[in-house]
Formats: sequence, structure tokens, C-alpha cells
Amino acid sequence: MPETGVRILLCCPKGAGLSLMMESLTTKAARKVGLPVARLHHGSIREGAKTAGQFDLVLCPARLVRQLDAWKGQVEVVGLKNPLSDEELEAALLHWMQTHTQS
Amino acid sequence: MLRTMVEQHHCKFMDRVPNWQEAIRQSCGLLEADGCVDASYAELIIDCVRRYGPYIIIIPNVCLAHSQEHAGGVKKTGLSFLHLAEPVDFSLADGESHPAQLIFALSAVNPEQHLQHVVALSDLLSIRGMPEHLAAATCEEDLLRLQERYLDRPGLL
Repeated sequence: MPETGVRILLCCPKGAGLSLMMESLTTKAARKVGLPVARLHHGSIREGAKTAGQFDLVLCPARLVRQLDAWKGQVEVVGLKNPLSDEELEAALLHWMQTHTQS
Repeated sequence: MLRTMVEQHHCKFMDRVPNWQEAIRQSCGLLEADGCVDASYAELIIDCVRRYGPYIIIIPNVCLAHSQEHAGGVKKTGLSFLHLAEPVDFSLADGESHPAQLIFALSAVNPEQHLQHVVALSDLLSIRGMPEHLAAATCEEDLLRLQERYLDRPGLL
């Protein structure tokens, strides 16, 4: 993976099936929108609550967002209504690009 | 993927089940029938849900019953699909309602096959409208039609 780029964490309740699926779909979405990714990791929301500071962007099901409240202002946390929707994933990544890339 | 599950007799359509535990037992039962797992696998997943909550509801209305790769009770890799006409609620002590009609069960003998099947399932479910199409299916022929329309000819999407 390139050294520059966004560091993304995918979280789900247990860190097994869903976040693994999200990682796979996010890889494809990032390629599609042209977002360089330096690091991609998936894990449980519990793990995410401890390690979110190592990332720039955290994606998780919307109902889990409040478990990352401690990181407000330090890490961008995006809750997804449908965590397997490529539309929502691409929108989240495009929003990141628009707000964090100098034109 | 859908055709494979149909050919392996890993699909079942039911009107309803009395509770979420039975949904897991029925979907794992499809994998037990041809020796992918033994009866302990369903109980292992039920135990995990009691401990971790309904983590197996991956998106609204869809359950992926699974444990770690090479968990106890796994003999072969397999994926099954149980369709319920009436959603079953995976609510636990938290009181939140987690209804699901589409119950997938996955058994994997090693991490590579676990990853391969999880990624393939995420590709299937990320097809726009696919969860709704699966919910509207009433028989295996409907699943084969979805396979032909969305999976065999992806260029037409």
C-alpha cells in the first residue's frame, strides 16, 4: 500500500463477518472514486473505541456511532444506514476527498 | 453463488420459525444434511449471539450465521440460505428489535475459504436491490433467475 493516503477503519459488532465485508467493498469503492488508501483495517467496535486514533476515517453501522463519541473532533466517524451499500460507501469516501484534499 | 447453493440443496423456504434460535438451527441444518457441519455448530453460534448480541444481522433483514473459521463442528466449507416469509426477531436483552427474513449460514474450514465466501456474499448483497429481490423470492427457481440476471451476466448491470 502507498505511504500516503487515508487510513480507514471498518467496525462492526464483533469484528468478524460484517466488517470484513465492508473492508472488501471499501477497497473496491476507493479504487472506483480514486482515493489513495494508506491503510485499511477491520475490527470490532470495541477494538475501534480504543484504536480509532490510529486512523483518519472510521466507517461503521449507524447504530454503533455513539460508541466512538470519545473520538469526536479527532477522527471522522461515518455511520452507514446500509454498511454493504456501495452507494453509501462511495459517498462517504467522496465526502472525505472533498473535505480533506486541497484543490 | 445462488446456483451453487441450489445445486447443493442448501436452500429452504419456510413460512415462519418460532424464534431466532430455530432460524439458526434450520439454516445450519441445511449444512448438517450433507456433512458440512455437525449439530454443535448451530449451538455454538446461538451461544455467540447470546454473548455478543445479534452481530450476525449484517444489514437490515439479513442474517449471516457464522463462527470463526475452523470452529468446532465444521467439517466442510458450505453456505446455506433460509428464506422466511415472516421475519423472525433476533431481539435479546437489549430490547431492540432485529427482524430478519434472509438467513445465510456459513461454515469454513480455513481462513482463506472463510474470506472467499464472505467477500462473495458481500458482492452479492451489495448489488443494488438484491436484498429486496431475495426477500421477494418464493422458490429455488426465483434464486436461479436472480443468478442468471445479476451474476452470470454482470456486464448488463
